[in-house]
Amino acid sequence: MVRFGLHMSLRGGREALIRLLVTAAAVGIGVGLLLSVLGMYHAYQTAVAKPCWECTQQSSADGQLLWNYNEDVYAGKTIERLDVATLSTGAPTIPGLAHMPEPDQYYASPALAALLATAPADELRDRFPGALAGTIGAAGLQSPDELAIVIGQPTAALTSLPHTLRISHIQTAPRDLSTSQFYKFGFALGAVALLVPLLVLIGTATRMAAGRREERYAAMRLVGATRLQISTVASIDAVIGAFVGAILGLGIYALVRPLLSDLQLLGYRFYPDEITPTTWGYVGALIAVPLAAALACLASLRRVGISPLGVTRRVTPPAPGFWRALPLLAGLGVFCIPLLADPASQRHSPGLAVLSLVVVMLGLMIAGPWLTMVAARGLARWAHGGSGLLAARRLADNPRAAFRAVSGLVLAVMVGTALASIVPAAVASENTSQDSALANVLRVGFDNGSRAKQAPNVLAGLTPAAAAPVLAKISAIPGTNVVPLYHPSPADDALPQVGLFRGGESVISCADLKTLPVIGTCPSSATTVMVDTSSMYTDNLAALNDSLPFVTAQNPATTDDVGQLLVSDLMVSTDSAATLERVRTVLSAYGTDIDPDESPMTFGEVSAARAKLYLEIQRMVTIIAGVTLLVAGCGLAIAVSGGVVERKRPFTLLRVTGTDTGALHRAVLLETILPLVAATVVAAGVGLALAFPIARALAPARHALVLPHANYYLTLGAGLLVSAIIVTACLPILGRITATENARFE
Amino acid sequence: MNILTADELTKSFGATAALQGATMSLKRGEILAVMGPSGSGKSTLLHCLAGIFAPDSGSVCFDDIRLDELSDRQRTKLRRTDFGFVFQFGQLVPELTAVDNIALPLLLGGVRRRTAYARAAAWFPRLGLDGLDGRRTGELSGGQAQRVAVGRALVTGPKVLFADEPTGALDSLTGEKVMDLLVDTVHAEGTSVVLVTHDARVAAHADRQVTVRDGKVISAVRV
Repeated sequence: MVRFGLHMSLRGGREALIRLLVTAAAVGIGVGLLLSVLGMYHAYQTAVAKPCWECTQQSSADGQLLWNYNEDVYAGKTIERLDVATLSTGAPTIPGLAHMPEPDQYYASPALAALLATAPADELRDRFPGALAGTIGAAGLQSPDELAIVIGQPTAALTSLPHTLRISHIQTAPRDLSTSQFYKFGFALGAVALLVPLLVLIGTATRMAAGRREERYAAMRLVGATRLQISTVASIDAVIGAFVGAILGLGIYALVRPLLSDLQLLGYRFYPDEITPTTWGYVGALIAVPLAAALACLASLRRVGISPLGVTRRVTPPAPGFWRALPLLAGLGVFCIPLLADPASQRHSPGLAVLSLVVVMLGLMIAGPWLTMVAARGLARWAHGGSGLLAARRLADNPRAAFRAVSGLVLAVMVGTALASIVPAAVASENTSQDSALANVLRVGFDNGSRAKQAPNVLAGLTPAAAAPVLAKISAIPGTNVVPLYHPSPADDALPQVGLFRGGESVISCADLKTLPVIGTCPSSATTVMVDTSSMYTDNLAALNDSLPFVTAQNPATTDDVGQLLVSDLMVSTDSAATLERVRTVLSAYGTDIDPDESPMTFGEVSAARAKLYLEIQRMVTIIAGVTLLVAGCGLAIAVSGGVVERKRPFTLLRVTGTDTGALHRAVLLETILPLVAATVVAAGVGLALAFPIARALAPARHALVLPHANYYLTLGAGLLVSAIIVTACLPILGRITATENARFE
Repeated sequence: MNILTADELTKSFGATAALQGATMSLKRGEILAVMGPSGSGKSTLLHCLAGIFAPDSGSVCFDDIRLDELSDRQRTKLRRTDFGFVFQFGQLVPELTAVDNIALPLLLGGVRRRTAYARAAAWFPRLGLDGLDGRRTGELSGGQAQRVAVGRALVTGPKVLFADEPTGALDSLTGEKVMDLLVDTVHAEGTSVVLVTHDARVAAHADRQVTVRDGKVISAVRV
């Protein structure tokens, strides 16, 4: 019987061959995408599980390695800089290096080595003493894009620097990412959002034209085949299609993989070797998918009665009941509470809104078939042409199947839209489109431990003697304007408080202020003023803009001689990216004076770093939504092809009786595109509406809500368009199989 | 007066010659039974007469229009407006209700929805299908489904009805009832009928019979 099943599947004529090819193609697309998701997930897990040598902080009196780690910036990207000196041959080494560099040597990550070879020396190369001795291996880097450098220093040079540690062990634990759980959740959510339409696609493909197959099985029953034999033949048919599809999927994955290694899913690329679904993924694709196809096929055979006299006659399945709408209504009821409540009372406690989000999403999935039935019946009632009637009745006839085809899409778009709406609020209403007059101004804070007043004799910023050469060197770079901020003198305590607290105030020279007028204008006759600079330490350009100008006519004048005050911060405006890097190169010589928590960055770069999470999530959501739409489009295309094959007889007769193919095309397009568009629009609308009270609760009080990025909507639109094109591309099959020349009805 | 004439039709499918010079005619209001053994070419003849196939040679005239010279689009339009069809089975759209199925040709022809459904509903008493307008195909018996098919074929008011083994899937009693209905209705409507069958009892309902053998019309008998 197995051989007979193989014979029927492989040599069952043109229709069987076409069905096999279409099934294999659909399963192949599904498996290819599934392996891609698994591969990216594995790469992410490998990247975040790497030891965080940069996080080493535990000093040891008998350590064999001097360790001084800080961070620099180039073109908005962080450079991880480690200065080391080995005290004995047994000194530990970071992953990716065979041994630590000798003095006047350094090892750089491949990305940084490439930059060092091309960037002008005064913009980058001059920051690092010594010569390149080699590159850091992948074991010590999360990404091939990572910028890292390990510099060998003489022992004496490192010993004298502040923040130098003597260590015996380098941290082997991974970085404690506050976002890793979120990403894991995101990947899991994305995988589910992708998995559902993928399984629908594979299931639809293996069930393609089942009606036609079932007629064949009925003929076999007539000549004495048992139910077991029919099941065997049917399973073999499904397994062959799925297995060929799985092989094809491996091929698709092999083609897609180079593209995946260029994909900056989380803002950086993964190592190509680490993008792999692992052996289990491959085994699963080759074994689990055909097995699942066989089980799905057997399950579907249970739903129809195949007797020797034919397939049990078609009877409309029972309509979905109203009870399916109850969870949705309950969720909407809960949703009304936070929606109608006073926004102030909800701030920072969106519990009910989150609950309603979850309940409505689940409710919509349960109510989907019922809503589809109601909508299709409405369409049938009001449809004016025959095409509309055919499409509406087809949808209303089996709303469960109609909704199943788009259920994954509904879930993905709903979750995606809600996330894309909530995340900007969760990251303090970060709006990446915001700009500021200070966006290109660099600020660097000098090591002063705390912004509060320092105890006597404690160094709090650069002394006038130390600050003078820094200011001179930066001022000597063409295209720069430097504005130092000074710690107030004890005499300034007598002045009216300008900030929220005493430690948040600085002194600024009115002469310097004129070079950077965006900060403000001094009162007339003042030479120095007290200014509240606490709001300057923000990573949100919108909040920064709210505080500008820092200096107005109301700021109290001081009698300070700024030449005698400690410099706490520098604000440097530059006229180009090259000038900015030259300034950072100068500052790199004072790296140990710079507050370890404050790398020299422009306000725009700080804001962009803050917005990174938002952008990464936005990117991930956009990719998932786009891919899901495509998968849903493919699934619908398969459903269309299968549906057309199953309705060959009535459709051909309609053509015989004078119906032009255009009318049939319209009917098929309507029954396909309509649910796709409706499901996308409804899911996006519901996601957006449900996210509103949550976003409102999470957003800072004075900032407007940020809607999902335009790219998200563009992706939805493009995904719909591509899906429509895929479905339209299947329509010629309708013309061919219903050709009147092939009509035989006796 | 002839409404449909075929002259020296030939039609081949690959090496198989289905029609080899078939000639016949159909009078206005006449029911013509086309008989013959399996493989004789009677269905191919029907398809050529209805403009479903273009013959390889010969001519088909319908009301002085040469069907064999029309484009596929023109023949499609003619089938929609002037011809009706009843086949053995599988002609109803399974998702549609009985009334939907009968209204469908009207809707596809651009008739307003309300008018289309009113005209479709009016057929149910005539077809003996009172109260079954909301049933789907799977919920109808074979005889009921075939009556719906008759209604659907005649609802547009065709000049010629082509019926290919219309009772082939029915038991004799049901088939007899369907034929009675069909004959009564076409007579009332003044519709001409080309009835392909190999069943002498069905052919007995026709005004005239022709026999097809080896792709030729070899005899004509007035019933």
